[in-house]
Amino acid sequence: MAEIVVRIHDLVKRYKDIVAVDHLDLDIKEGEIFGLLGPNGSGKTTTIHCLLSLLSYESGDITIFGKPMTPTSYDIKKDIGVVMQNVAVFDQLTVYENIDFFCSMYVKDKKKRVELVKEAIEFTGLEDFTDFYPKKLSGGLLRRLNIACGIAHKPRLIFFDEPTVAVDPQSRNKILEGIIELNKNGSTIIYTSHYMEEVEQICTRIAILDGGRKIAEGTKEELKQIVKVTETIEIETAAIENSVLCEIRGAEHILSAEYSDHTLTVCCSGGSHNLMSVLEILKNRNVMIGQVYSKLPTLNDVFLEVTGKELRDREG
Amino acid sequence: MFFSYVKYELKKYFKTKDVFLWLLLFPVALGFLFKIAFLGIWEENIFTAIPVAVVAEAENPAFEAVIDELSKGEEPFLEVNYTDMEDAEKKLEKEEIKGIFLVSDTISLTVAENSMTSTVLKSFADNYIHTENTIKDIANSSPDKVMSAVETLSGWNEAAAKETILAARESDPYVSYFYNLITMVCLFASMAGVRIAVENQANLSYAGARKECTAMPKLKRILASYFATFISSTVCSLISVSYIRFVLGVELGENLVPIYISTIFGSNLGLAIGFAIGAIGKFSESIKDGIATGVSLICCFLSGLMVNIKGIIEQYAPIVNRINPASIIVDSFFAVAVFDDYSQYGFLILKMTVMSVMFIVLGIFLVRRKKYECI
Repeated sequence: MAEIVVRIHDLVKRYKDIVAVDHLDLDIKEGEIFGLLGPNGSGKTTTIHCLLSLLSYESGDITIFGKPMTPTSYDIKKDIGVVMQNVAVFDQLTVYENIDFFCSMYVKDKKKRVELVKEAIEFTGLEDFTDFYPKKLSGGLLRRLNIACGIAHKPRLIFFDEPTVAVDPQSRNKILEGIIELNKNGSTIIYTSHYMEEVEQICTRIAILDGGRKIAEGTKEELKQIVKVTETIEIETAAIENSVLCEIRGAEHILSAEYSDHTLTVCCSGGSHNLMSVLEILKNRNVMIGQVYSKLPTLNDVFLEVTGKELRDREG
Repeated sequence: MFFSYVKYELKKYFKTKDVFLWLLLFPVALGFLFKIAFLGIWEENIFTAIPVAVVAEAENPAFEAVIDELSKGEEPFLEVNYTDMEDAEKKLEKEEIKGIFLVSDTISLTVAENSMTSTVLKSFADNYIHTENTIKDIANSSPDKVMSAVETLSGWNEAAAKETILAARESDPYVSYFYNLITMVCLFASMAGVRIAVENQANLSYAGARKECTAMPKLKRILASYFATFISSTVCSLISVSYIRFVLGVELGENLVPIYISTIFGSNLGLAIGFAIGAIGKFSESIKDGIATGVSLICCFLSGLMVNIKGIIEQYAPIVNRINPASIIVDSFFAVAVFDDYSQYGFLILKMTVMSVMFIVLGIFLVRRKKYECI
């Protein structure tokens, strides 16, 4: 059984009257890419900051690698990499110097550091920009530099706090591929984002936070079982009689069936041959059909179902 | 770890434009302006003949001989007009002459304004009167030595007058403005001190938050930052001193070594003040920079950078001069360059050291906090 790398028990963090993290419990195992998903102000970044011992908190326990995490836990920190949401590099230093500067705060041996910096540069695809100053880099390259600074010392545990904010699709893809590679190389990853598709693409386990509370946790598959609608079928048809609609609605595992704009939309819950059943009914009633679509639930559906659809805009 | 950190902090420092603006370009520009404003006037007055009127109401051959001697040669010290008092006063009013020597029972001098020229003339007159009185005393007490004394008085020649000028130069009030300028450069290191605190606190900068996550202990980081910034700001200050002395040609004192040492300790004091300011509260770096600049300028104002206010403060609130960092730095310059008082100099250096340590300890005490309420 994989070792628990990070354990959060009953964590409570308040900003004056606002509860940013509300009795949070989390266990993150070695080798995972653990996604912390939540709307703005849900407490993702605050949780990361508490984990890194940057923020004080009202109550709770945090252990990393089995040891309590404190601001002076330098033996723990040497195995942690951090890629902050805000790019934290120095404009006066070149790409190479920035990576070496941060790496020097973990690794004393200069020769070893030269190797590590070189590997980090190759890993993030910054080979052509080593002598560039950050101000000359595009947003995507800057994010990659931020990542290189955080991972150059080859940490066992890496925090990525929304690393793909405001980057182009190519850079985003490069970053996500890099994270998967880091994980394959043995690093445990904690990844926060509100981009569902990213989390769905790379995370092996996910916790959804809202209002500082953990409202769901599990693998993608487990989370998708939370949603009521397990399959949505859309069929282009000519006009359908009401009786046909009633027959579809009456079938097993069918939650709803609606017809508008020449499209029949059927929501199913459970079952494994819903599409076949609906097509069978249509065939029997001599309904002509065009294109057929079947959509399985996405993480976005899970997210919206568990967090609600109202707009969020709170700091956290 | 420590030295790599110091290396990159030095690189960062020397690539920061603010540093060059405030610690190099600013003193260079201001020093040049001071040179034009003060030394230009001084040189003009010292190295060109000073126009004076001599009103002889009584005969004084010795004085006339000295005056004649000083108005001869390729570079005469005086340009003498023998005239009556009415005419002399008109000329003085029109600024055609800088002073009137009235020769009666004694020698008296009238000058129109307080300037370097008037200081030199006063110094000359005082010395002459003192020498003349000495001879009179000798004549009364030892008449047999009066001849040799007269010869001494007659020997009051151009060289002696130039010595008087040099003596006046040592008490040149304008040099104090350059001491104040160097002091201001030292205290402007406070802005770099602010940066040390800001860049090492998670709640004040992203870089601070990022550094707090690393395996390098906070105290080690702060000391490395401080060490690097101290080297950088001190180099800038020493360049400023060298520029003032060797490029502008300002006579900062016979021995430049103690001036450099004062500058080093002064820069450290400025840096320590800035570090303490940076560590106080959660204001942004720009606000803290503003506070540090304001504190530096107020200290320099009180020590006489803009107007010569230090004497007034000494009279009414001497404690301010005792604790004002700028006054302490300026006093250390005066202690060696003007008064040649090395015990006072040593005391002031010790005072700067103690104050620096106090501010550093205060800064470390304030940033010692391990976790933050919010970031």
